Amino acid sequence: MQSISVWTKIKCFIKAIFFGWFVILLGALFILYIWKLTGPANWLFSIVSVIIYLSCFLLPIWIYKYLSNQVLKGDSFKSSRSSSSVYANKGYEHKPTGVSYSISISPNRTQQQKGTSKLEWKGKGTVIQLGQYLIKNPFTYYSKGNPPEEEPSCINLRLRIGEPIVEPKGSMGYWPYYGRITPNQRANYLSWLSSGKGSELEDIGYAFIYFYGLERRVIVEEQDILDIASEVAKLLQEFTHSNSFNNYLGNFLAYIIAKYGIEKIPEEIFKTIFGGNVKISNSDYLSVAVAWFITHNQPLPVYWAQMIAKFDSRSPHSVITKRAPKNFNELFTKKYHDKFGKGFIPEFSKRNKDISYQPASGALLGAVSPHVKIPNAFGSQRQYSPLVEIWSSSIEELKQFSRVVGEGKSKSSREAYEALPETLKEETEHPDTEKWTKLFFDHTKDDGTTLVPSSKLAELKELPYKEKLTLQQCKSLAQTAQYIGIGMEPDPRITNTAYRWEENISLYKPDEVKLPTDSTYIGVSVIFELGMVIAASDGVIQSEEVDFITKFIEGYFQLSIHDSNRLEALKSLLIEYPPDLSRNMRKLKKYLKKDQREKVGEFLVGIAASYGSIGKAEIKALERAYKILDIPEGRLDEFIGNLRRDFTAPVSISQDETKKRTSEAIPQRETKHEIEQVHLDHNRIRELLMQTQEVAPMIGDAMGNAIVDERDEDTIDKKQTPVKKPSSAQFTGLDARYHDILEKLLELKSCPKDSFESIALKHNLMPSAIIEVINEWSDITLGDLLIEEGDPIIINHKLMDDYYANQN
Amino acid sequence: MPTKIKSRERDAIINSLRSGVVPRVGLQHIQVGRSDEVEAVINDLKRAENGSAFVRFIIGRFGSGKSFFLNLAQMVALERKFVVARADITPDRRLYASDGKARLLYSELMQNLSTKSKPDGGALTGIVERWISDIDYEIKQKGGDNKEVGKEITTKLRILQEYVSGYDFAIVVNKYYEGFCSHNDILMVNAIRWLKGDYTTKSDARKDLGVRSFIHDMNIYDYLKLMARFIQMAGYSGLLINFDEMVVLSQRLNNSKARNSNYEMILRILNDCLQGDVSGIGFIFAGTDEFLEDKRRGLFSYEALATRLSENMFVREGLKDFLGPIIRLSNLSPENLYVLFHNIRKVFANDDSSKYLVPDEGIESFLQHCSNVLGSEYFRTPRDSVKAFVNFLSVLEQNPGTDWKSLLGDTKIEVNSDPESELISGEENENKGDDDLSTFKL
Repeated sequence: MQSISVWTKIKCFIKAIFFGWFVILLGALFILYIWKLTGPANWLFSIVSVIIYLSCFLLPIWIYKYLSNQVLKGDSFKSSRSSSSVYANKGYEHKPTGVSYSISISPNRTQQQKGTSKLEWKGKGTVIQLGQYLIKNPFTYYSKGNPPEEEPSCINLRLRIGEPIVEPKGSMGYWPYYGRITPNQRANYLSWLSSGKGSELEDIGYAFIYFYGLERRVIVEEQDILDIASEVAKLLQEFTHSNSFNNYLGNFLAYIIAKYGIEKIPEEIFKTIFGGNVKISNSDYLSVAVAWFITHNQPLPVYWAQMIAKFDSRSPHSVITKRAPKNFNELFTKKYHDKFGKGFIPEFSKRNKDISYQPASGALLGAVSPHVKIPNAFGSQRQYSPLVEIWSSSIEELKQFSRVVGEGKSKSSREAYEALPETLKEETEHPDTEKWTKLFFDHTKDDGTTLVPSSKLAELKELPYKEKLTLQQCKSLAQTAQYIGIGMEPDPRITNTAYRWEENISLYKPDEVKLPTDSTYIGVSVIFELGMVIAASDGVIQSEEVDFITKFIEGYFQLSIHDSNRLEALKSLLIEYPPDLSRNMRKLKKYLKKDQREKVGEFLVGIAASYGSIGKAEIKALERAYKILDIPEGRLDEFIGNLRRDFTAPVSISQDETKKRTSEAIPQRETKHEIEQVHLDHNRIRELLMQTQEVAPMIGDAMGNAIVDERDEDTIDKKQTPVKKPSSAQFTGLDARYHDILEKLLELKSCPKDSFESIALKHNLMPSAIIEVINEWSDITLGDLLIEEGDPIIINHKLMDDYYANQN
Repeated sequence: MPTKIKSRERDAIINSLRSGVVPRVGLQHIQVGRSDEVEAVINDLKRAENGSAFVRFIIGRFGSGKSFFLNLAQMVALERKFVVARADITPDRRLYASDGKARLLYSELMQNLSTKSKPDGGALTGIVERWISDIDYEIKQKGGDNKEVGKEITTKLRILQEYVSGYDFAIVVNKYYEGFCSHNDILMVNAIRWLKGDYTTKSDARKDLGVRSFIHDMNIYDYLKLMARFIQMAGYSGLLINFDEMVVLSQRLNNSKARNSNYEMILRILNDCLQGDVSGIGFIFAGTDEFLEDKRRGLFSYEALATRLSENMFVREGLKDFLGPIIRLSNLSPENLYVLFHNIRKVFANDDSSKYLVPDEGIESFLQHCSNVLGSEYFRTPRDSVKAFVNFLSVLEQNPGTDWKSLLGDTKIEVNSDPESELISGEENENKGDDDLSTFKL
């Protein structure tokens, strides 16, 4: 058990006597008064009074014992300021405010009191050896006896040191004080100091004791400012779990740097002090740091830009920043650099900012000059609007990812990856990369082509068997392949056509997979396919024929390297599995007008004639194509005839002449069957092929123009036949703030719930409120509910169509 | 003017009737009579709109259409922009209990909370979001931020603090908004769970939402009043609460103390509504005659209720008094059933008389068929007859060209052309345009 000094005992004794006798006196007066009122006849009262009175003599003894105990516990120190302590769930948080005991804090008052020892400082480059503890760079005060001034951090060398122990949090009392903690606690503290102050602490109170000394050294003695600032910065980085500690240290750093002069801080020192990943909870800290960047005309690093956005009241507070901090930081960084390049340099406002500091150490109350003025980096909030925008959009884009993670999926799962924003996907490896790469190389042939059945790809994504996959599933496969760096042909995102379960797909691994930027590629791929159909019409695809079509396309279309890679992959597929004529033709028939179809027919003749002759089999193929395209039969002959016009060889007898015959005509053989080999005009063919450039975009459009936009909304099924888009003015009776979103919803046929929520958020509306209000309106105006809840959410377009039809 | 039958109404009607349950939507298309009763409910709703409250007891025998009437009242209330909560009383869901059964009733009510745009229940989230959205819009139009919206929510909900637990209610609504702003779905779900009465311990409520109370058996009525006030604040006319199968209280609760505790709760509701202590709320209890009149186990066994619910002594046979809290539903007559079949036929044909699957004669034959198969009292509990008729029409619809007579078998029926037939009632007169009831007699 720890003993207390004689002087303290005497003080306690005197206090006890004075206070005890004062109470006894009051008691005596009170009993006399009562006696006077009731009279001595009331014997029972008299006995009770005498007992109470006699017991009062014990009071000084109790008071003495109590005071002695309190001094031992250190509570007497606390008792005058207990209101300054705040408890938190994770142990206690130390937060001293007002202090009333009197100590000298002036650096000039170094006059040593009798029985005390001098307070000395041990700073950088020095060493203290206390028993087994060797403390390098102690940055602390010590004394060889009782210090002349109250200094909680002072290591009194005379005090006993025990053995380090593990104690529950808060065992040091509310107010840690080296001189008053137990010997074992002192051992804990010294052990921590000797470890370089980097080891973990059970109780943040030890760090506070240390910090009190640093405070005194800078604020009272104004010495070692930069060294101490670095030391404090280290503490700040090390101990992030205590908000109170963080707040004090952040404010302290801001204050001392402001006092020292922001402009005087060189870059390397600044980076030491403000360079770490600190949990900022103090706006002064941020103000000083940003002021340094402006003063030194340096762009804000991402970290500080992010902190500014975080502290801006306009920024949304989201669980995403905690749930996915790494992803959030990456996205913010990317957006920040995209927007500002090297970084953003804000400007000071005209008015300065005051920085003040309230010391943590109660010994230092009143030692601080109240305010220091620094240039104000936050006078104009408007300049930080872009940062707020980056912050908000980062949160918005990570919402889907956060939701997936929130549902319990791992951050490295496929679902989580696919929920990431596109920009982050580029920089993150897909979790299935290994599987896909293995599949790719397992199916790569010696000639370098890779053909894989779609079922194998579906298995990688754990899709269940279906005779035909859904378009959405196919698009998702292509998208995943792209993330992994593999291209697919045919690509459902371009063709808008789903795969059958066993359909063969050509995979390729270019430097970068990119979707075509316009519809030219669709047209080109269809032309290529048609060319291959014609080439395959004689039963065999010759390599010369393929080369010819390839050269022809390369000659007439300026394909990008990405599109060329695609076409190459398509070629390898079509050589192995010749295309079906009818598949594309039927689409063309559906979407092209008659004159457009004839143009395609003419182009096909050009392809067939590209060798300079058209064989019988090719003519048959052309006939079939014309039939599917619903082009009148005579047009094929006409087009072939056009090609022959300038040819010098004898021309066959025309059909019209047969009508002039008076005698019975010998039945003509059908011209097309007669032609074994038609010889053609090469100039005309060239001319015709030139027209291909017109045909290609036309075909591209007809094939669905299905280049997939990567935006969120495009995961939503668009209507096949777009409805007449009603203007917002027609939503009579509906609250104006819902007009925009209703217009947006009417562009869609259905919409996954997640996307609907995203759209709602973009319009700053709540999803259920939208459904409630719009459906209420539609029930009254249109006669039924417009939005059908579920996943996906379905928009009842028929209602709107009927409504407008009735109105018209 | 006849209203158009919506396809979802048609599907709901056919599917519900085929399963022997009362449809929740499209009731106007099959409703037969009850005009006075409906008018009485409309008047009640009007009073509630004006800040009053009401309580009604719908009393009738099994098969008299109590559930149907409740649905009808719900439909009318939804049209008048009320929010409607509905629950069946069961031994596990009561008005008063001490083992969580009353809280389950509250949860059921909140689960089935419906609005005009969400008539099938589950409207609580929409109501909360709608109210918050309005405030959010209002504040942000003035340049405020999320914090100010939060403050405004608290300010506006201060009015609820005069109710029991109003303060916690305000905190929870604020938490919902906080969750929305921070994309914290879990917080939003927790807030809705609390409002639905899904929390069972204080510690869970405090841990998840920071509130010190939760909805439990002893305070469900207080929360219903609170919810009614909130609903009015959200721009709705009020809250209508429908309790069906009240007979469970009188006939299935064998413990008289438990029964009386539930009756005390009804008395409390009755007193509050009649004395004007609550506003914007209406209660409809549907039960059988036994539930009301059984002197040993019914409401009349509880004297305070017996005196309050005793009927007007001047009401005689043929006279009605809808000012009292009790509405008695008479059983269906054969003519009612005829009109009902007629209406069902109309629903099948989408109100297009050229597409009727059976002629009027077919309906009559079917009634005869029912009489033969089900007995002479077939019309008193029409569930089986209606199910059979819907099945009958379904077969005809799915097999075009099938002769209804061969399907049903030839049945001769007597048609009385006497215009003074005693079977014409006021209710049928309303449907005169649709049928030729006056000449029909079995």
